[in-house]
Amino acid sequence: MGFPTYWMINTALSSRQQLFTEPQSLWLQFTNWSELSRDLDGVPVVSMLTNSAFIAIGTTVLTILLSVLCAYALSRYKFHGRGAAAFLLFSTQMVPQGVFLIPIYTLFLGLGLVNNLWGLVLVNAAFSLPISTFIIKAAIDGIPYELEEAARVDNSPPLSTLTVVILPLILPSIAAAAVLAFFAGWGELMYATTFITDRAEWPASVGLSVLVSQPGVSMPAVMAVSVMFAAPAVAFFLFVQRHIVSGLTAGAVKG
Amino acid sequence: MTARADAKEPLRLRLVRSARNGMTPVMLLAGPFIFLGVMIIWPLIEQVWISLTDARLTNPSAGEFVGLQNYATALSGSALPRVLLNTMVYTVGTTVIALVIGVLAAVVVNMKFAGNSVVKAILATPWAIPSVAAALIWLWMFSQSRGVINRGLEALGQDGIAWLTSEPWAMVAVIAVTAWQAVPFVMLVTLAALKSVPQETAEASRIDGAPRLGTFQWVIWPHILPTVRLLAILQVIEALRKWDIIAVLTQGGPVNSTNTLVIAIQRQAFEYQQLGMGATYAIIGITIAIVFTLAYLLLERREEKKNTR
Amino acid sequence: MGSAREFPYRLSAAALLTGSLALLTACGTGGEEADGEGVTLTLGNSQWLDANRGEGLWEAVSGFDHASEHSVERVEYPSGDIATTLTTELGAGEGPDVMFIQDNVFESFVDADFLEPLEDAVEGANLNNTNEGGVKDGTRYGVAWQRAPFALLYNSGLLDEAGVEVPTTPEELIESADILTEELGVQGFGDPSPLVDDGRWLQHINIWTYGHGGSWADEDGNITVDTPENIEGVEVVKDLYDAGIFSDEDLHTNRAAFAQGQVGMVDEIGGGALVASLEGGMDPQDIHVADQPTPEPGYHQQLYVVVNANSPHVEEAKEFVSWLVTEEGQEMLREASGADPLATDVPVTEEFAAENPWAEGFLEVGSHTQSTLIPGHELQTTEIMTLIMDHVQEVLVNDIPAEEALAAAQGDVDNLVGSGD
Repeated sequence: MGFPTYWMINTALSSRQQLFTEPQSLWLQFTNWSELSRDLDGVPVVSMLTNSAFIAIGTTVLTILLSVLCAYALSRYKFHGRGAAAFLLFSTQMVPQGVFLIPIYTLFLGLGLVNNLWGLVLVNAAFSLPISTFIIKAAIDGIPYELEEAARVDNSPPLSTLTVVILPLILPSIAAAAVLAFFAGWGELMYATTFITDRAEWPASVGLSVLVSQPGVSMPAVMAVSVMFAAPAVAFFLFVQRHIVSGLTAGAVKG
Repeated sequence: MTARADAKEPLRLRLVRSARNGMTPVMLLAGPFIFLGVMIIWPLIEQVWISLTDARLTNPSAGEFVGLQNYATALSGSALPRVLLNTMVYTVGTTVIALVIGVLAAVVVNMKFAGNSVVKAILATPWAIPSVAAALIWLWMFSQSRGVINRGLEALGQDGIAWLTSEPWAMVAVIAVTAWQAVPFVMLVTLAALKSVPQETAEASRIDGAPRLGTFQWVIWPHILPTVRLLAILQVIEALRKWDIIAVLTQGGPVNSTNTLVIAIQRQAFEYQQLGMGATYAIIGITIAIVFTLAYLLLERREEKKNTR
Repeated sequence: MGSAREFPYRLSAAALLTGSLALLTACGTGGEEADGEGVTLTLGNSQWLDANRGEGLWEAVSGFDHASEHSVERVEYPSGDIATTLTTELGAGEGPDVMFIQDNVFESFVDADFLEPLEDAVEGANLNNTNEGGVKDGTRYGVAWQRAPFALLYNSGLLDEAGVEVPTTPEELIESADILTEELGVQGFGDPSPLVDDGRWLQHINIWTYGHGGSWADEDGNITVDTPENIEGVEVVKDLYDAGIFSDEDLHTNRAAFAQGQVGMVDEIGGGALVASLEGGMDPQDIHVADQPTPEPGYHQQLYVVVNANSPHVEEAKEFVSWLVTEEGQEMLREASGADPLATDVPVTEEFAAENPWAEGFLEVGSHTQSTLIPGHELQTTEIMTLIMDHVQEVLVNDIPAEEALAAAQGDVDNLVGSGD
């Protein structure tokens, strides 16, 4: 399971000559920095990662905001069309994202969201929203009504019930949904390459696909960017994973 | 719970009532659904219309109405059955493998041993690696003459395999990579479910003399089953939409053996520029997916009824 | 032109967006309007991103800055996505003022009325035959930017060491490749296997079918898939495949391997030779080029310069094209283009030719290669070729006779073009 990750680092640290003229060393080497830095010259690594982070964080915040509202409504209210709303929500999750490329592009043109990182935030949030709602709704479903009832005696408005009573209890699930949304935004490629043509706005996924489509591609450079692209996400993930695990099961394991 | 006279009426009922005279659920749902409506639901409806036209990529909204001709062409051709079969093999393959390995990994990691957290971290990592980056390193590892996988096989005295250019290995390869990325997620979620198995129950059954496997089968498995089912549906959804791994590794080849629905839609719409036909593929795919969703929702509802009774 | 492609319903959908969304859009794209006479032209090309020659090409076109009162600004597209992204942009009435696009994209843009006629822009220019495809129904919409013919590139150091001759027939190719592998342990022939890279082989098969006099349609657009010439070409591919001389790696890896001196022969374009020459993995003096080992010439890829009909600066964009085909523009472009044939017959510099023995070979080969677009079915070329390659793969993998497979392909293609148009 861990080997491909190691091999990614190993390849990044190899020289092109080593990769093609001899069997790739099984051990890490640290003698090819100059070749690597030459190959990465002109690749805006820092801005790529910053842009990816912007998209990922924006996606996460927007997704969570909207999906908490959605999940609460779907979980706690009985109203006409609830089934239909839930169904509509989940069926959108089944659609391949490429299908929406052109309609969303034309929509964004009118709104000035092409070549704009906010546009990608909206796109990724739209795609993450259903699954996030799914997870958070499951968590709210698992909270006994009585808890809310106790808070409602003073006739506080439902939104404050939501924030005061429900939110603290479903934090792990929110963390779980947040991680899913974060990675969806962090790694997304299809929309990013179509919507972003300005080098300063490239997220890391686009930068990587540019490197890959070079004539005479430099495998170590591709792998180096891959490592840099993966590292922050892996670090973030390892940091939050202990919090999310309980969240994902909160709904599924009732009782 | 203190018994209060005015709180006799169950909250659920009161909420229903407030929903009737107030606007609350509508208010809550308005934002998200307007957002989704503009970004996804409306374009989705548009797709239905486009699938009835001969629209091309160069004139997305100016196609001419052709009725069901695209559907007739798609359903009568030899390509679609193959694509659907591939999609099924890929979806079932990745889901089953990811679930089996993920659950096993969770059981192992759940045992107490030295280095447990390091093992867990290493096992968890692939999930956080962006798909494109993951696909690229596997592409290099699968290389027939320079790849480390065939080097390993040769060191064991086996012949190298043309992983990405022969049947059925290409499908095996894309399933393996997809599952590799999905296992950590399954593992972590299952792990959490395992942690919530009441210790007394598990221990009690062990004292009763039940064998370890029996404990798992009769005590632990029923407890984590709902989790596993949730994971299965999430994984199926993921597999139905997965695009980047196949696009990087095989582009649907060889001889269309990894050409799944998503790849086929992409090909129709962007390579052939046949938006109408691409939309037709998409609608056919969505229809199939919706049947699955419905089945799942019905199953869940029946379960809910059973629980509340 | 633009008004025919409006999206009224999308705009009404946009109006539904809530205020919070509108807030987000406040930081939209900035409008640029030059004061005075000069404007800023946007030039969209994937090549600006090429590590080896991107900067050079950009410097060449930047010469227009000095030659006119206007200035130029580059718009960069990853090469894998440029076709889709430009089509999406132009379909919505957007896109850069000037674009540099592949011939198949050019065809679809002409068909969709995206492009501005260029007759008056190139009046008096000394255009050569690489520009022929830029004329559609008597109107010129494109000027050749670069042509990239495929020729047999070889590493003379390796061939000499193994004691093999440059092959002139498929049999000799197999023989030479085998000797190279046996004697030196290198990849004898570096073309990716027809099973590796669907996209590339849709064109690459033409080396062997064109090479035996085949074509996929006659001048009147009648489909000619199952002709004896094509059958012979596919049988050759089958022989090469069965001999196991194709490489298992994709195009990029093979190119990198050639540049490291690990490949004896490969079908390549000038850009691939340039990479090998600049990488430092082998002596540029060892890079040579020969005709394909087939009786007839193979194919080329072609890039056109075109002007966006929806551009607010159409006239200025045409001025750019006019400048590009002047002697000055062509000489600047030549310096950055290696040995690719250009819109006019501008020779490579003596210095470059001396350093790169392969350069003049490509100019020569490029004068008689053919386009990959299928006459009368240019827009459906990719789709037709996918159908054909599906059947060719059956020949390779499942040993279906070439004759049978191409007969089936002929049927499929007839169905497609019968229903498609």
